[in-house]
Amino acid sequence: MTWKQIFIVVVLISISTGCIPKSYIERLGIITAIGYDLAGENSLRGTMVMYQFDPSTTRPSQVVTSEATTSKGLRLEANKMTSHRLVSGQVRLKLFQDQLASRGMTKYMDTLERDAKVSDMGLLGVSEVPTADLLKMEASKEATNSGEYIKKMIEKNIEDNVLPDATLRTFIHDYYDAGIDPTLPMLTTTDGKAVISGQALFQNDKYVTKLSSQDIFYLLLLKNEYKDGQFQLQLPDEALKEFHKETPGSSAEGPLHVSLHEIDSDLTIDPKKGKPTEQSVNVTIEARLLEITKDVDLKNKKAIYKLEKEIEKKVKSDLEQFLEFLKENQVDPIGFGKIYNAKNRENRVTKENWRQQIPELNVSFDVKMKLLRHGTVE
Amino acid sequence: MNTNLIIKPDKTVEAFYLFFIVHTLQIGAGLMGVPRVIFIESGTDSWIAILLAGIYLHFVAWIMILILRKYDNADIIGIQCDVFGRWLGKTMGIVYVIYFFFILLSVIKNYIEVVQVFIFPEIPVWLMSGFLLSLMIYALLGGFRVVVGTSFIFFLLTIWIVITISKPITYMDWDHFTPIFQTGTLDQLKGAYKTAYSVLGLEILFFVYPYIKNKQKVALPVHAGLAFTTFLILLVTVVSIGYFSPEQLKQTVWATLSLFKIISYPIVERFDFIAIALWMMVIIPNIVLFGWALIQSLKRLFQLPEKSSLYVVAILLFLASILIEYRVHINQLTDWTSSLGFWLVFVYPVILYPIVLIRKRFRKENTP
Repeated sequence: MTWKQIFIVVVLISISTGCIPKSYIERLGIITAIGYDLAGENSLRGTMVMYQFDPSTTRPSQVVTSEATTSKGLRLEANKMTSHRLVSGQVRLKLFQDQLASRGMTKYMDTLERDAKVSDMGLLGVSEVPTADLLKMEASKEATNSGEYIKKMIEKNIEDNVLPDATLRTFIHDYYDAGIDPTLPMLTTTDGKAVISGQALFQNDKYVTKLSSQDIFYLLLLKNEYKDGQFQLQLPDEALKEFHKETPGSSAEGPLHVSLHEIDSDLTIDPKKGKPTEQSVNVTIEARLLEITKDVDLKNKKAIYKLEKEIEKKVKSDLEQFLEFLKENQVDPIGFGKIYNAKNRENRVTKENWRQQIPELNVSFDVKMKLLRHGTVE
Repeated sequence: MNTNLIIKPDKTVEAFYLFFIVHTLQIGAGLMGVPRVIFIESGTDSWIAILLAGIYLHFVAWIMILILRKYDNADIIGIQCDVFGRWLGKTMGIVYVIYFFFILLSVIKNYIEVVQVFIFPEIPVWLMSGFLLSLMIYALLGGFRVVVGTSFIFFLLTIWIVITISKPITYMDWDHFTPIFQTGTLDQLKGAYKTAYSVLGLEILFFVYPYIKNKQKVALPVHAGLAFTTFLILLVTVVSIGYFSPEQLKQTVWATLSLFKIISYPIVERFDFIAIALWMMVIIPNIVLFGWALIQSLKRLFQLPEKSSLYVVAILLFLASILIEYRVHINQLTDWTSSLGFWLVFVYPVILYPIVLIRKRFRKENTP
């Protein structure tokens, strides 16, 4: 290339960059979390937590609330309240008030999906209190704002196997699949702090009911998502009476609680051929006993066997109760219908006919428990 | 017009490069949306449809090579004139020219559409098509060897994107594939037919054949290129079916690009932005090779000087790309070129071969 040609190329490159709209980071308000509340019959109230990288301001994040009828309209309205241009490419958390969620979430989420700028790995959540309250809360020390704090909290709990996955991707995936309903974490406030209060269950995209945080364990157990989890459960008081140690002043009185750690579970769900409502579930749990509230002689093999049997019994009856709860609310977050579909050609489950069939669901549970280790003392 | 071309040895390339020519031309704008297109027809058994299409591709390539071997050093334009006579042969040549023009247009328009949806909604169409067309002109002015070099270099520069698909694979739901054989034969064939748009490009063999130095070694690189294309389409489709729910996949226009959305690295949070920018490198060999074939056909048919026809074609493409504004029109254009391409690339050679055979035998008997 001659110098003349190189010169032309350089000039062309520098000129053509001007054709693309510029975004100066100091002038942007980068939205990281959004909360949607029901404001009126047809209007939404949106709360946006945004970052601004303006060196002249002392507070890096700011919260804006606006009202409109669509979620992009909220951003438009919010633009009138801030000196920064709001952009949605960094939205990591979207919260929906329960009243809004019970009207169906996808009409508000359509824009999340259609807009290619929004990441699929953003987290979703449902809130029992207005989301404005959650997001406007004073941030704790570990995070710069409340949106960031809630996001980190949900993320950590998903990693620790305490909550099922709550990304936009998973929600949309489960929503569109036949024979399974999505779930999302449920948030509330306690003593001025945001906490996870349970799991929101959905019929398609409509929020139906809340699953208590105790029962999330059973949801996860049936979704086969356990690798290194933990759980507490209460057994009948006198279940291990014959193995109590006879030490003076021992805690023979009171309820019997056991705490299980490093839970590893295996799951097989077998639907009956041609009958989606007849299913049998086999669960094998391997765990370490970390805490037991009564002084039990664990050197005795029989005591361990007995303990395993008691836990199996308890887990099985809890699973049955859990299933009843799902049947009452006509939700299938586990995906019994989907598993049936994967194995059967006839009598296929569709989004329409599965909802009616859920109350007729008949599942037989078989639980196997193995206590592999029990800590440093025997 | 001479049936056979006389090419100077310094303009020819090794048969080895056919792998890159065929493969880079086949992989292009189509790959971005192919999972959905096949899935709508063939459902969970789409992989069978793709394998069927792949097998048929090899069959067509075999036929094409057989046709070309009947002549010493001819391209399709010359063969058509030899077989059908001057007028009909030239008409068929014009069909090829029209097909190349519209496929170029649809590749450019589809890519600009993606850039506008994913990265820069405000970017003007004239700017993008100006960029792409100036690159096309620049490469074509360099001659055939530069064209081949483009496809070779851009293949090496972009093929690593395939590795990043490992992340979406971890999110796959294998339940979506069972039970297999749910789809009827007709739907399978429809799915295989729909695969056509993303595997168009095989016809380039009809045009570059005279430029190959060692003609006896043509078959292997061509078939390897086809197999690799089939593998890539199979890969993105299978991953998409596992990653998306069936209903969701039916609505996701650029399923392959949506797969990239969840890939993130500490320094690159949204890999899809990078992937779309890199996709330009996937598109360029398409544009350059189709552009070369278009100019070459014009030259062979009407003895048009290469340079001036290149500028005229570029200006026409530029104007056409600005005039089409709506997404529905782009889709329509894609559908038309797709079906024209299907007949021209996948059906026509199979019909042409027996005619060539008959013609040759007929001549032998007349002129001993």
